Amino acid sequence: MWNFIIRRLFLSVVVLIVISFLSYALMALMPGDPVQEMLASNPRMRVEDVERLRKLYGLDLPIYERYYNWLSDTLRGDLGYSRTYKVPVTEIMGERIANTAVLSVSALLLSLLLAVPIGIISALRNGTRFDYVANLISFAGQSLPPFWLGIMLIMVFAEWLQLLPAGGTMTIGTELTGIEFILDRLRYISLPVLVFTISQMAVYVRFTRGAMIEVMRQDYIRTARAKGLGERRVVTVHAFRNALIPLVTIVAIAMGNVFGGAIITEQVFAYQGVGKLVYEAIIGNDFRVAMVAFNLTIAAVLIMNLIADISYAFLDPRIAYK
Amino acid sequence: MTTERNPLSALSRKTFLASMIMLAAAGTALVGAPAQAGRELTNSELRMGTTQEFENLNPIIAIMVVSTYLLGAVDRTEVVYLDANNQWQPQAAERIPTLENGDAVKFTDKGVEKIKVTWRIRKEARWGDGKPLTGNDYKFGWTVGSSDKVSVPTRDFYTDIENFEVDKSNPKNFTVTYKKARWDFFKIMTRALPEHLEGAVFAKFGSQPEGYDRNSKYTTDAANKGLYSGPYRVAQIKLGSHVELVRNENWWGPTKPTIEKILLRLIPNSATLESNLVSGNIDYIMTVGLSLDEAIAFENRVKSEKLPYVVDFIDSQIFEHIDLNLDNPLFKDPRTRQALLHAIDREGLTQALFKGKQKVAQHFIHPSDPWFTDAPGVVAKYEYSPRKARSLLTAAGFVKGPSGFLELNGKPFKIVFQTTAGNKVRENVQVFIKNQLAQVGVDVEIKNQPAKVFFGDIAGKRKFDGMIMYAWTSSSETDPTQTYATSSIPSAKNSWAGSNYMGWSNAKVDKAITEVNAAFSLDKRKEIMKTILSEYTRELPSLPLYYRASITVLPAALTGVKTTSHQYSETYAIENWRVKTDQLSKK
Repeated sequence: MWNFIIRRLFLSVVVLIVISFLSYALMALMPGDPVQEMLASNPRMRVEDVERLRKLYGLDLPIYERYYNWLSDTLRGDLGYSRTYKVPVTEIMGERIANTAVLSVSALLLSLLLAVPIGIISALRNGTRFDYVANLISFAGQSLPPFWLGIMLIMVFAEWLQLLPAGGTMTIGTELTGIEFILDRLRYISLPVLVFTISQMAVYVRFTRGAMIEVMRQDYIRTARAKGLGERRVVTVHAFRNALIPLVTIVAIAMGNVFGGAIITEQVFAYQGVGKLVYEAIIGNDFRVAMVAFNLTIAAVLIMNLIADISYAFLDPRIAYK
Repeated sequence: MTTERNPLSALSRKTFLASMIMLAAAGTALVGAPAQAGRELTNSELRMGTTQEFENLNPIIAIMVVSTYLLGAVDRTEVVYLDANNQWQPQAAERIPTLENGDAVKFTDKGVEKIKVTWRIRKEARWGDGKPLTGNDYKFGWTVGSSDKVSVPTRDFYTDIENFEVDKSNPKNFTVTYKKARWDFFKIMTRALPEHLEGAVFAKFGSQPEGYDRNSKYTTDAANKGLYSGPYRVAQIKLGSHVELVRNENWWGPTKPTIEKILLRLIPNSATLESNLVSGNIDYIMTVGLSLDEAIAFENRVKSEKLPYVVDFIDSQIFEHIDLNLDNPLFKDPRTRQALLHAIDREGLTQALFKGKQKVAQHFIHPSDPWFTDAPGVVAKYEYSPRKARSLLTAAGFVKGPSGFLELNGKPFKIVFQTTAGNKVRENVQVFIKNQLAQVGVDVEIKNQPAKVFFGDIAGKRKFDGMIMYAWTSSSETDPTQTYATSSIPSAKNSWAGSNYMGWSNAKVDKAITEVNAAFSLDKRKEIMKTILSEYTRELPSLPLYYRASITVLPAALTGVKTTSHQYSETYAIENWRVKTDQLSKK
């Protein structure tokens, strides 16, 4: 097992470097460099301004040289400077990454907390009214666009009922601490989490339900019952554990997308996360910001896939890594 | 036969139900505290909202629209500014130097006419930490801006100045020599930087590429009082979220601000921005907020629901137009371009799509600009007339082809029409124009691109052969060199600089542009501009459409706000804003 983990970690580093170069090159090949965009919005810029800024930003160098400079700076711990915001990347990204992680992980946990029991009950009561309602809600959750759902929730909870703030991350201009701080953050995050949960939950309900229906038909379930095991033990230990494998896969993929999956939700709720920042960075050729986000996403995908692979061995003893 | 057992009975339904109830209870507790409902608008705090990002507020580096909007409130070191009535006024300077008042003197040096100008900074002008604002701060700003290692976007403020001397006996005064004698020399002056705070930073990091940018106190210590010189100063800036402004205790202007604190929040989605306004989270939507169609819809809502807001549509100096690529043989004959303009019902367009809130443009000069003229002998006008359009196209050699559309020498008259994808207003305008041009036999294909590609590649590198639609933002008496001079046609030779995307080359215009920049008399400049406008409206290198409206939504109880039609926004008089206490709005 340890050999497997070490080999996978080594391969992950190689994949990370290759994909980071490809991301860098693709961004550099996009039409319009940052100076050209500045020029479009500022007719006062002269030829000498264009040449000076291209040189200052290193845009006159070949892509591989620019990538090498970026990589060596990054390995030295210097993530660079955001050309858009005129501040160090760490300053603008640090808190936002944490905010997005809180939003994504909360929504993921909440959706699993709700979806797994609903999926199990739905599978066990296959074809009943509960199952139909659960299916209906799942399809609705999957079909509702997050931006529409977000605006509807804002209208209901902020405009009409005036119970929750219409957007933001926290109350500005206050120095809250302790429980007050937590409650304040919870009030701001509750609607974005709800939107994110509804759209994710549907997928997990469908997966759990499908996997459980499949597992409950297996011979070993019949054997377990024949051995005289209680139904609770049959369901929770024998059936659910086996049904978890496809769920673990899909959760691992979702965790990999933790930094980029909330762009629309963050935008609708003016939530200070990393999603919109990354989008703007790509559009604005803000390489240093975009590269941090790319690499975090790649690393998250690789690590979560590794964790998923390791989990399989725990969930199903027939799977072994050599 | 087997009997299906109900395995659900094995699960603890109670546990499941209990978890649901706990979740519901947590939700109830969460919303227990009221949001911003019923927040009363007072002079203690005004909350503004915008959809666009801002950067840090170093006045010589910041370029984003929202940043310059904020600078109006916190930085008053610009020597002059344009007021809401389009008049240049002294700001940090005691007066605007002119040849008449003797503060500006023309002289000839090695055959070149130059100008020497004495600036006198107001005695009371000072930074937020009480230190006086002097010529040394301007000279320092000039030195920083002149450095190749600092990412200032344009350097005419710095490179057009060849000598900068601060009066040793009275550092409030300084003398500047400009390389060329231009009438608008007074606009070419850097903002000041607080040398007492930034001097050491520049000395330490100024030699590294972007070293000053990264280490400036505007980046590392943005709440430092000494960085600001306006009626307000920054108390907190959180990029991507909000800026908090508080009154500057050392504000030196004659009017002290009434509103104690101003918050500007970034809310990227305009629908959410409106919800934030209605629910009381914000009180004011600045210019970069609602699009025109959203503003018209919101104005209707304000009227029908009697909401306490005013939707202010200001006719601004943003010129929306269509550039034609004059290298395309189909556009070579000016009659073809004239026909296209005759074929578009611009009045009908503004009524149908904008409810008349945006005015039809005759040319690129806005009616509020002193250079504006619509004199019939000077400016050619193009009323909506499909008949005239058809006859001009016939005269230019177009004939009806088998497809029903026109052809020129067997080549179909098909135009690719491009603009920034996703801009709903522009996309509606495109459909309107496509239909109208089809009526005179012109086949239009719409092919839009994201703004980045559109400006960076399609327009910037002239990779279009038909029509591109976009806008220019200007202010009164803006030098037309970068947009209409032959030297400003972008090409690989000039590193794609310049914004004459049409490829318009007119010797008369080139000569007039050189002359207008050197003419010190307004009457003379107006006379020269007549030549440029006459050539422009006759040759029509671009099709003028309309002047865009700047939209602001402000609370009805807020007084003293003077929205402007140019880049010097209403924040340049923010100290006059006040909430009328007898008209407090409860939302």
